[in-house]
Amino acid sequence: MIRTLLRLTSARVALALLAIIALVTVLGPVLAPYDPLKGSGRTLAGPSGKHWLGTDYIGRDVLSRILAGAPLSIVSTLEVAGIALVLGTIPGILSVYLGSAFEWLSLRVVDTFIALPFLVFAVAMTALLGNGITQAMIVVGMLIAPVFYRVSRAATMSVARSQYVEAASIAGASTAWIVRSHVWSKVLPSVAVTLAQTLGIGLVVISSLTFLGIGIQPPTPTWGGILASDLGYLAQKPYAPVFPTLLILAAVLACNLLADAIRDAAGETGRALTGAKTARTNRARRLAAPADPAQP
Amino acid sequence: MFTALVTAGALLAGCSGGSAAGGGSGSDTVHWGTKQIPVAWDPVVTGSTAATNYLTPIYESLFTLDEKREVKPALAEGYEYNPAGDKITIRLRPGLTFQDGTPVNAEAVKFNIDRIKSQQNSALKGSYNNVKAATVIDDRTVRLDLGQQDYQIPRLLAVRGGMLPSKAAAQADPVKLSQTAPVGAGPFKVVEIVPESKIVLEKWDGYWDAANIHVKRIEINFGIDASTLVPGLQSGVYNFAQIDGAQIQQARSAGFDILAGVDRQWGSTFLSLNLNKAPFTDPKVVEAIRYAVNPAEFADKLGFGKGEPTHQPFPKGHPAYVDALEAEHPYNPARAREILAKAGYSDGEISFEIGGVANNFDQVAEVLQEQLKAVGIKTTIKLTDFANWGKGYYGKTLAASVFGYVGRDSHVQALTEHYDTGGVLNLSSPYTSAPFQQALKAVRATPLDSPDYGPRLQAAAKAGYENGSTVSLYTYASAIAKKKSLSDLPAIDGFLSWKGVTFTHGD
Repeated sequence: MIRTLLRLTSARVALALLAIIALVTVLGPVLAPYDPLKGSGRTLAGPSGKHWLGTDYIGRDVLSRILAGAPLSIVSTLEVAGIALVLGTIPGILSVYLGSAFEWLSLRVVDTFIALPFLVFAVAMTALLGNGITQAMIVVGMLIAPVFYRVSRAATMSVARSQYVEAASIAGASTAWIVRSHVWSKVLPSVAVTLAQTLGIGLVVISSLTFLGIGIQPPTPTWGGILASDLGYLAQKPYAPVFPTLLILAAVLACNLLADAIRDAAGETGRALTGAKTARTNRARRLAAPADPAQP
Repeated sequence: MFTALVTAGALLAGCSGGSAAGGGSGSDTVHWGTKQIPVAWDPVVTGSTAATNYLTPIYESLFTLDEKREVKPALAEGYEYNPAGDKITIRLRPGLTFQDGTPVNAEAVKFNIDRIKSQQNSALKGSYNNVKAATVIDDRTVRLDLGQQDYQIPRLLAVRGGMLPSKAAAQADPVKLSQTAPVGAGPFKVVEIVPESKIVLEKWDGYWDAANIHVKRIEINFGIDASTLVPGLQSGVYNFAQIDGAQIQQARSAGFDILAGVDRQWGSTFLSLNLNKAPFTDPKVVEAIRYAVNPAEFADKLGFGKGEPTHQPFPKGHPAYVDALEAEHPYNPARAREILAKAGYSDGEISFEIGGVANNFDQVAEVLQEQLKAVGIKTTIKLTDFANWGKGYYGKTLAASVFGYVGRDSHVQALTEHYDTGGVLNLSSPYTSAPFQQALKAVRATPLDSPDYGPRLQAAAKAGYENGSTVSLYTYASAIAKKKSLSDLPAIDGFLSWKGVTFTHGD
């Protein structure tokens, strides 16, 4: 699958962008030219030789804050995706095999989470658990988990009804063996696509929460937090939100491109991974299809 | 996602240009935008805060204030003190009703004063400490018995501290009154409330001074992102907006009137310390913090030309402003370090959490943190939503918090809120100091027109600040931007009075 993936232009672009973001994440704090927390008398200054992206409302170097904010912005997004993956995928697969009681209960829990207004739930849970980065990650992870649950459950159900799985079952294979040998390989491509999409969503959601004052506390820099504070000074620096926005956009774009490429590489069956030519055909077919199948 | 929506909203609003059209200029409707979100509509629960700007159209007080800040009759037609000055008899206007048709009478006054003193979530309890009992003399007359001689009571009962809700509504369901159905005797009655979003008010003809109200309707939109308020004015979505200092220049350039001055609406930002909690149990730590704070930096960076560096919670020119306090703890980080070292604290040994309301005090907390770091005090910032923060602040369990206030109609009330037992802004309550209590007694006992009043008020302000737990950061003038078609509101400290306000049509 990886070879097929790497032959797709969209995947290569996505991976190149993600590599740059990874580099910024790892080296950002070291590369920051100034202390990202230290203010100065030069507030809301425009870009200059000394401060390439200018300074913020208390005179801190914007470039330094963006570079220093990269690890927390990216790592927290990865945390969210990880929490959602674990909380959603495992119950999703098990709901097909653990009997009707577990299936009913897990479906109702998931329905409840889907029905909850996202930001309201985040605010309420933060009030309950306290306002911290870990709590915020747990909350967002919980809210994204139903997506993984649905995807993994649907994929598991389709494979569970296939003839070769029924044959394995009749031959005396245990449920654990069936899940390990047959279900994982079917579910993983779909989950991988969802995971890539979640990384993009997570980054934006974390930014939204920071915007609402939930999660990461000042003066810790994050891309979302920098964007939120920049919006308060549009009259003085109307271009200021562009810098953090570009980074968020690049990260989200890279994740979505990668998700699309994984889907194209995986093909319709998901199980048998296809070659680059088929992947490109998949992509062409997907792009040509109407957005709403009900529409002519 | 959320930020993108906000930005898109700002851009869309801005795209409409600076047209003065729309926004209700032809319908005598005030379209009011604000980033604030009131959490309650019962003045007893709200207290005498900036949120009273949203309550005063609905509720009327026993007394009001004129542009000279003098007490004038409102629901009450007058008052009289006994010779000892420890009882005040208030006479109500005849034939007044609340918006629900029930009478504005002495029973209603007594009911609300009892409620202020006994209701669990009353934010005015501390302010009414000296009011011991309310007695109904007859249908239009009520007497307040005071704990000590106190000539401030008519000011306490004016505007922010004395709004009178309907007794019937409060008795039937105080939660409903506070959340969804406020009923008062003010110039406007509630037509619609969408919690945390908007309130629609219509002129009420039963108001005692209805002839002076020319605005027909007020629609207040809450929780509006500050960056979208000026574009909202330009596009005609609003014709009246409470804006941040950062938006003043933008609004002025776009041709809107700016009402901003400490004679109208002002705010004071401060650090509340809890003297009952370490490390503030040591007075040396409090003293060092006072030297470490640099109000000029706050005013410069956050005031946008409307900030004023003050070492006390009043702006220059306020009757309670004390010149001497400015010289007592001038910014001197070296002195702060010296005090801490002499008290035996090593660099970084003192640490505490700075609490506050998210999206309101972020920048203040950040500047403060850096100033304290410069003298070796380590802090972490913990900002939360108002409800959670309020539990810790009003419950007096926080160790330290940044907060702000907007003054009070009674100068003494402004002091008691900060320095008296039960004061909503006194994070160290029940702590109060003997020198403040002594000075408080003296100023309460001084008639407002006495030449001794000013000096005694300032003596109490000085004793309160010196012995209290408030560390002033800076003061500022709050700003309102409005369309030129709406006439100026009277300049009354802390009071948005709609009396006499008119629309000029055709601009």
